[in-house]
Amino acid sequence: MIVDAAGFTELYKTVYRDLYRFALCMLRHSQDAEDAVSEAVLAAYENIHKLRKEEAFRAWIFTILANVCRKKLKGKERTEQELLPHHAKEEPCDGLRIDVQKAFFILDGEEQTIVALSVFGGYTSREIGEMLKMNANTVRSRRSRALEKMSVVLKEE
Amino acid sequence: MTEKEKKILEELDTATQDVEVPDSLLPEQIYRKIQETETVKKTSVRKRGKRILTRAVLPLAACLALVLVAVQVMDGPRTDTRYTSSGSGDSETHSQAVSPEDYSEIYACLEASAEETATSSDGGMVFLKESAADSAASSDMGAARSGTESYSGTNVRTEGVGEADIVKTDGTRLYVLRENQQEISIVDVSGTVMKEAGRIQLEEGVTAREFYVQDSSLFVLGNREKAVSFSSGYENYENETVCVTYDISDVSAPVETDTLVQSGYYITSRFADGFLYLFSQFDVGYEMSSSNLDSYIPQVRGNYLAAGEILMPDEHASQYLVVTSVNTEKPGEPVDKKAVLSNYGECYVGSDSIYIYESKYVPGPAGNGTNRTSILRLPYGKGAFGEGARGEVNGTVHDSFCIDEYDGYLRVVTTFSGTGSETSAVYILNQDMEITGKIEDLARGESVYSARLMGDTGYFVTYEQTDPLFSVDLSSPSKPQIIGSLKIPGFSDYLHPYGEGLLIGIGMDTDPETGITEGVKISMFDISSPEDVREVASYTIEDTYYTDVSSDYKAVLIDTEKNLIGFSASGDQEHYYVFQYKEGEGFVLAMDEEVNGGGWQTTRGVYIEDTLYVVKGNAVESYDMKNYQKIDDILL
Repeated sequence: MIVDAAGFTELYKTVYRDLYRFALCMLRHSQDAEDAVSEAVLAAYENIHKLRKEEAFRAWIFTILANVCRKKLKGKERTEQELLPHHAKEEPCDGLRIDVQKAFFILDGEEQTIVALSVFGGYTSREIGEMLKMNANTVRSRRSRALEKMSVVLKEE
Repeated sequence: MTEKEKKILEELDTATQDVEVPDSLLPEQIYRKIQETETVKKTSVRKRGKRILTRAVLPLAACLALVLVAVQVMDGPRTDTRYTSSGSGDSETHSQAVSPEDYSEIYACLEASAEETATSSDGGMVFLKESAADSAASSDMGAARSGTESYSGTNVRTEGVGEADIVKTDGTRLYVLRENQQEISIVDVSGTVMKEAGRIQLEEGVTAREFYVQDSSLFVLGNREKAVSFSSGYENYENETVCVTYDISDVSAPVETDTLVQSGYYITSRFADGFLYLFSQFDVGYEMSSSNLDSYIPQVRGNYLAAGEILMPDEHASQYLVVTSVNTEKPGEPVDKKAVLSNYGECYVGSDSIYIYESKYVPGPAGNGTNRTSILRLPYGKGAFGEGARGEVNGTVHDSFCIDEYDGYLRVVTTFSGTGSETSAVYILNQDMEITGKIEDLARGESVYSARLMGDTGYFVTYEQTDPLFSVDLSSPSKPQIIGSLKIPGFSDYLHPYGEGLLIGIGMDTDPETGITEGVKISMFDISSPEDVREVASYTIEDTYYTDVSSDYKAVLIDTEKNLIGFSASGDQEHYYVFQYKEGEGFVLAMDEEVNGGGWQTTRGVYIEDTLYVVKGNAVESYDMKNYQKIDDILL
């Protein structure tokens, strides 16, 4: 696909709020989320010529962002394990309701990604399967379990 | 997705609506930023034609499903007959599956499919409904080996066709896939105290989804991660499917003997007659290029599949379902391989053929359209694949229990949503995938929740507020007939035969007025006369709202000889339940114990002789089946 900066910005406009919400729930730190979106957007812009069709833009940029977040989470885990081997505690995050933050915190990385893609991407388990290269049935059962866990935390508020 | 799940997703959406996006990410700022990075990039300005970001305004998956259903209104005249049965009709829909001349034909097809998707607002990504999990099972009663050994096997879809799982036993040991998906523990259970006798450690980057044990070999099935770097340096992850074989003759020191790698991520596998069939899905990425074969031709063990091993799609394609067969004695080398181009293929493996089925949307004249399922039959046996044939039926297939091979015919139960309200249908197809008989227009306003087709009689459940269980006579391929229906509250997600003349249903109890679910329900149906099916017993587990059985047939342990029905259900906590069925008394709750252990993996119950093992993640708990008292536990 060939698109200029203005065209790219038009596409970005339709998706940026959801991208940020996605990153914020995944990383639960506003600065990290900002960095992640920024990184994903630049990567997307540089690779946009490889995208074959405009309709896939949303799914494509979400996939890129999910990978960026995943990399950041892995790094974060490592640092936290080194610093606080037993209790990786969360600091409160600006702009995110505390129960929502907790609800994402109790999930593992893959569960977080699946739930966040369902909420902010609006994708079905099949589409998420395609994005994360996972079987749709696996996505479904993982999402069920993840939501089950989250419901307990969300209920507490 | 359940109502409850949708609610949680909506709640998360609402709770984050007001999140303020930092200034640096506002479109104006981004515009500025990317203009700055603009260096070598050619700014070729092209007017973008139609802008159809179909899903950009739909915040939830739930909405997508609703909208799609809502768009489909009346199409064409239909008969008013309630249960129409007819002989062969749509004969033009079946054909032989063909291979391309060469790779360029494949490339052209994939390219054209991508174009097609780009210009039609309802192509490509459209999938009408989330088919609830690949629930499926067999008429095999779960387990029970012959002679002296007595231990449970994995609940499989097709009798005689083995399936991998996350927990296995060979009668003397338990094999458990650990929570990290990187290790398999071998647990010695010969004494009353369990102990870990050995452990398989997978190489870095390999994630096991499940495994299979055969004699002294253990086959690990899963994905291997490979990072794909893009020119700009950002990394993407892709999975390729692996089958890693271990020699476990000495359980304390398992030895890796072979690895088979094929393109795409792991879907499923089957074991039959000494052969392993390995299925993966290879997506053609967003970034396909004709000069790079890797981007659109799948590989097995580093070799590209030949054009003759690839089957062209029914219409469009964006991916392949790749299947390889290997002799389990020599698991590193493929015996035969095939790749089927499709937009989305799910598979069901019968005793003689593999069926790859795909839901598709057929647009109608005035924006309305219908959903159809195309089915590819691929005969298999002794590791070799035969000639493929294609057919098509109306409606979508809920799960692999709704599609069943028997005596040279394929029977399919579908939900059709082309006429405003949903209806169900039953089709019988011959080996050329020609429809020989059908019943359409059943259960208006309801969709199929589960099915079990057993020999000449089939049963399926449709649901709206109550649960009609239909019985269908399938003995004549040209004239299937509905012979009975039973309405009861709630619905069964899963059906499983229980000895002569009985059928178990596992699902949810619901209030017939409000449709609110009231707990996990287990029902026993007397099917000794299929025209007069009766619910002879039922049990609702109060304060539970979910059971893994609904989405994973391997989560249930059913053994008629032992009179044992075991599965876990969740309320505030997850418990494992064991029921016995006594004629006249109904279901007797034999065990209700909290499941310890954690992780995302579903809970399994397996037995050896008179001991039941409940496995969840890294925790194994053992119970004496004479009184269901706990014996021991181990945290791996």
